[in-house]
Amino acid sequence: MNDILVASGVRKIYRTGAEELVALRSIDFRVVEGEWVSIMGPSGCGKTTLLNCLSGLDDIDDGTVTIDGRALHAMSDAERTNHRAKSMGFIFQAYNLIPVFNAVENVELPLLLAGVDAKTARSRATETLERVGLGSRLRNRPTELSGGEQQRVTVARALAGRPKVVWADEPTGALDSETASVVMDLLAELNSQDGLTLIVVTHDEEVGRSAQRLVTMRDGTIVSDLELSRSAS
Amino acid sequence: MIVALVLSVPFIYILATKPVLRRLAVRNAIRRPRETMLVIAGSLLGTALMTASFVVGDTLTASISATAHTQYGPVDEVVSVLAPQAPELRRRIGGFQNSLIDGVLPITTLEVAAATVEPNNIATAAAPKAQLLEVDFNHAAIFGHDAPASGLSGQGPGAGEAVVVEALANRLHLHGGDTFSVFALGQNVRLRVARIIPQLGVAGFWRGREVVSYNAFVSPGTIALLAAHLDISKAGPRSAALGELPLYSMLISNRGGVESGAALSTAVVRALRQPLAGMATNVLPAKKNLLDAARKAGDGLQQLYQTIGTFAVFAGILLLINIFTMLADERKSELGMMRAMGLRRRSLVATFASEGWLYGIVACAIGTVVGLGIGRLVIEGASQITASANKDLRAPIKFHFTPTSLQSGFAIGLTITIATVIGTSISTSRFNIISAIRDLERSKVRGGGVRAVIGGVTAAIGALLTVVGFAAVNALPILAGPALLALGAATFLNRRRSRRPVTTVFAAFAIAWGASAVPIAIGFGAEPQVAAFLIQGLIMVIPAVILLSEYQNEVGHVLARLTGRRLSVRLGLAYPLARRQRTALTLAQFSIVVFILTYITTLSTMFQGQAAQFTSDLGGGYNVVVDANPINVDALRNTAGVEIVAPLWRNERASITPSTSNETSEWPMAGIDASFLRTQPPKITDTGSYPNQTAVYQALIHSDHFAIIDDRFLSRGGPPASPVGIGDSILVKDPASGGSKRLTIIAKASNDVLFNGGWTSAQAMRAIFGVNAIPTRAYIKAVDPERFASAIESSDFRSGAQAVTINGKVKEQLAQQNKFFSLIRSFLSIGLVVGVAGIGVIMVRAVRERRRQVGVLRALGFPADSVSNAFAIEAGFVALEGIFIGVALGLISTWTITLSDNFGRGLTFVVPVVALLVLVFGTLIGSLIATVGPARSAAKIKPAVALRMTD
Repeated sequence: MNDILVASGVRKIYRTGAEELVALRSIDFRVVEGEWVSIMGPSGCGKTTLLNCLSGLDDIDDGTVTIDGRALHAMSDAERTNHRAKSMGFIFQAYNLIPVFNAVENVELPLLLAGVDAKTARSRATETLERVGLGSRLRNRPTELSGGEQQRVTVARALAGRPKVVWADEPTGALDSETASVVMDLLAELNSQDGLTLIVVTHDEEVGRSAQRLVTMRDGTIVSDLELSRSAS
Repeated sequence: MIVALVLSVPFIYILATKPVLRRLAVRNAIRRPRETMLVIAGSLLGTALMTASFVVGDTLTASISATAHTQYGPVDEVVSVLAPQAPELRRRIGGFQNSLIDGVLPITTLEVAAATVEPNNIATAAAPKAQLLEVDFNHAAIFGHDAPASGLSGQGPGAGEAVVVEALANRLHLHGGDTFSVFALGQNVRLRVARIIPQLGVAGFWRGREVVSYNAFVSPGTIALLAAHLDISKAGPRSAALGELPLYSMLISNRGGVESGAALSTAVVRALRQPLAGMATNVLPAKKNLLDAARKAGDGLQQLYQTIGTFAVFAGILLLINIFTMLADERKSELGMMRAMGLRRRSLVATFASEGWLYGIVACAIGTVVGLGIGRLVIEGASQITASANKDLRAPIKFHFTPTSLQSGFAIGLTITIATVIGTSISTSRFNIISAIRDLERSKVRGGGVRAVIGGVTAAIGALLTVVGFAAVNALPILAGPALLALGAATFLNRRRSRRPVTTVFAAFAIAWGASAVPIAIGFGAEPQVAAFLIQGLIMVIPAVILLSEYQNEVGHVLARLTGRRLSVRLGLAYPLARRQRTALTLAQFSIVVFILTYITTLSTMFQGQAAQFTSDLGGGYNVVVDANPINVDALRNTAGVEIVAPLWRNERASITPSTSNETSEWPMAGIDASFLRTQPPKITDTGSYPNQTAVYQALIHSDHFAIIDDRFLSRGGPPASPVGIGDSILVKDPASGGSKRLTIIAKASNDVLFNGGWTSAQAMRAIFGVNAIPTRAYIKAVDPERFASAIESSDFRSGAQAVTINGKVKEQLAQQNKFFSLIRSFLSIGLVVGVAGIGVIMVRAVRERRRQVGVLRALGFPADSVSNAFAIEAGFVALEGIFIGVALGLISTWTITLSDNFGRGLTFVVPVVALLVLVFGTLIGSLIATVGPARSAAKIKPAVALRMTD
């Protein structure tokens, strides 16, 4: 299998006035296509920062990140945005759905951004929502959905564009254990059936151990990188 | 001010005694200085406009009141008689003493024409209306015990000399030692200028309506010399034909200063009744009348600007509500947390309202200063208008304001702000704590029962106003009543299932009523008040906004389809379509101001297009009006190119007391005889109980009991609003002879642009004014009106002839009216600034509110420029909808006016395409410019930062 993500010597420093906080200290990291990697660690260790930097949501101070053979931080903002639209999906803890759009409109958003025509986008969004079990809630706005349903819409939104990599930041953080389990089963199914590359930042040990690889961070560095057996889940 | 202070007390108390609430209010207020500045900017305009209105009123009052110094000084009352009664008048009040007065000064005056005449008998400069005065300079200097105010001092003129007031000297290009001629009573006399003095006090004493005194003081006996050939004691038609006769007057000075002394006038007039008992004369409280008129005019203009400014203030209130609703939405989580921790709802309202009060105090203080500036600009504009008008008739405008006006502007602004902030705070404090903490959408607040009660009460008030309005024939309740009834009924009947049809039917009814109510109210006889147009605007705009909000989704679908469902368009439309309440407030902000701007612009254009119609209405078959003292009818008839001459027996300063009030005003009266009907007379717009115009004129000339007036009769300041109508009567008095007659108003004529005053018959004028009822104006039908008018002024300078073509006068009037409309439009445009600023403020807050969502969009691959486009589309969409409502309703309203038989008579509906395009695009571009900053900052949001942000 090919490496879909290669990060080398990634450093990230937050500056507040005269103060500097080193969030990532020369991180080297690789992810193989179709792999599910969980990133765990205590609060403030740099998990979310790593996800943001590796996905190109945030700039880095040093090092390189290559996704699918393309150096992410050498791209212009517009190119990086376009790249995200076409090859990445995101799942956030706080769902972050657009409140003025209904479920299907939220899901078709990345498709339209990737240049898919409106009719195809609508049909693929509908199809994806049906796949995550929300076929009957297409026209509901986020406020009319439960937390679990909203997260499933987020998952559908992340998957609708058939991205190569899906980034998930605490995808079950706001869910009860039962709903969390449904969402994680869904992600596992997508990973195993569709070969989706999944990079998940989590506090939840159970979620972390569902992955094929578990990376542990502390103080901006990777302190362990373990291969896990899928049967462990 | 007291109301504002009382309203402020609770906030001062909270801030002083509740440290936690104070900390919350103050820290929130200073947390984001840039946004605090925007909130203050949005809040200060209401105060600014109110202050500006007061300053405009102050300036006009002060400018007119200045005439009290330049034409009266110590003179408070004037008692005048003709020559035969002069000795008797002197005997009765020459030595009058009273604790209320401090002087009596005899003076003789004669209206003359003056000219600088070259030896070849050609006039190089002329003053058609000047005045000769004889007075004892030594006595005048100490008159009223206020030498500087008197204006006269030093030595009086010797025989053949004149002490000339500056205005006349300037008009005739005179310097000390020059000579000039005066013409009166068929005689003339040549005078040498002894010295030139400023127009002040007794030196400026003037009997006409002009504010400029073309006075020349002459030595005792000069006037008698001019009148020597007349047997004044037998003054009758023969002498009258030579011009107005000399008047012998007693000037009375009340105790106190120039303006304060006038307060004693009523008592002084009463005190003079006894010594003057049995004499055919009248005591004229001249200065009090002037100051009353000044106050009335000032108040009228202030009210006009205040009413017009209310449109912008209303827009400002909506902006304030929007800003505070957004502030509350943004702080939803923290407010929810505070409620969860035990903060009572009352305390929450107190904190929020205290923060608003802090903004309000600062905004109103700045607004007062800004209002002074706006007032200054309006005055500057008004000065330019008056500069192009007849300077003799208008007091020069000088910027002036009183501390009371500043206090009032501040207090009104603060009261509005506090009331708005309290209302919004109460409304925003009603939230579900968990929803707020979890930052969920605001759930619908229960309260169907309360709404039904509010709806029922509103409908009942509406019904009551409707009944009262029609019973009292008052435009305001007639307009507001049915609209409130519809609004109340819709609120009462609104239930989830039937909301759309109910809203549609009642909103459509309210719009239709708003469009047609003004002509209907006027048709019922109601006076067209300026406030009626404000209410009309509100009762059309509010339902239109409600109606559009109800159908926003449909509008959104159509627009999205038209733009090929582009993502930035869909996103730009999504927020205004989803947040309907907020969108509705912004829409109303724009609509109300654009409505009145469209209304005024269209009306102004329509008036400009009516010059020919107005000329025909005003002149009938006549085309020139000549003023002279006296009118020489035979000479005019014999002038080449003159077809018809109709003399008018006109007196400029009749004392008129309407039957509807005890207030006496000075206003011209003009008498006509049968000769006036030799061609088509001016148009009668309301024939009252007479079948047609001819019957009205026949009745008028064959009786001495009737009068015809126009809508401006006896009105001062603001829009035309005569205190009398058909069927009422007026008591017309000659202040010089005391002669009087009660006249019944039988009809209404076209607007009195030529200022004839009330029309009556020549015989009525003779009955009232006796020997001084002489023809001083003539309506002429000339073959070439322009040529005749210019020729007559130069050839007949001896009688002070002044001629104007009726068409020229109408055009001049329309040009001034147009300038006035432009000034009003400029003032109103400040309301648009509120709208545009509102869009800016709302967009700044929207960017902050949606940071996280923008972060998500950017994370998903939404390009930065599409983010800014979406914000621009959102602002443009809301602005365009608001503009559309305003323009459409403004045009509909003006169109319905042209259908009215009364108000819109003769007006043709015209759409001022260019002006409206400027308005539409100016507003739209302004809105987009206001969005540039927030849109760019939205585009710069870094996804990772936005997603990490919780604030």
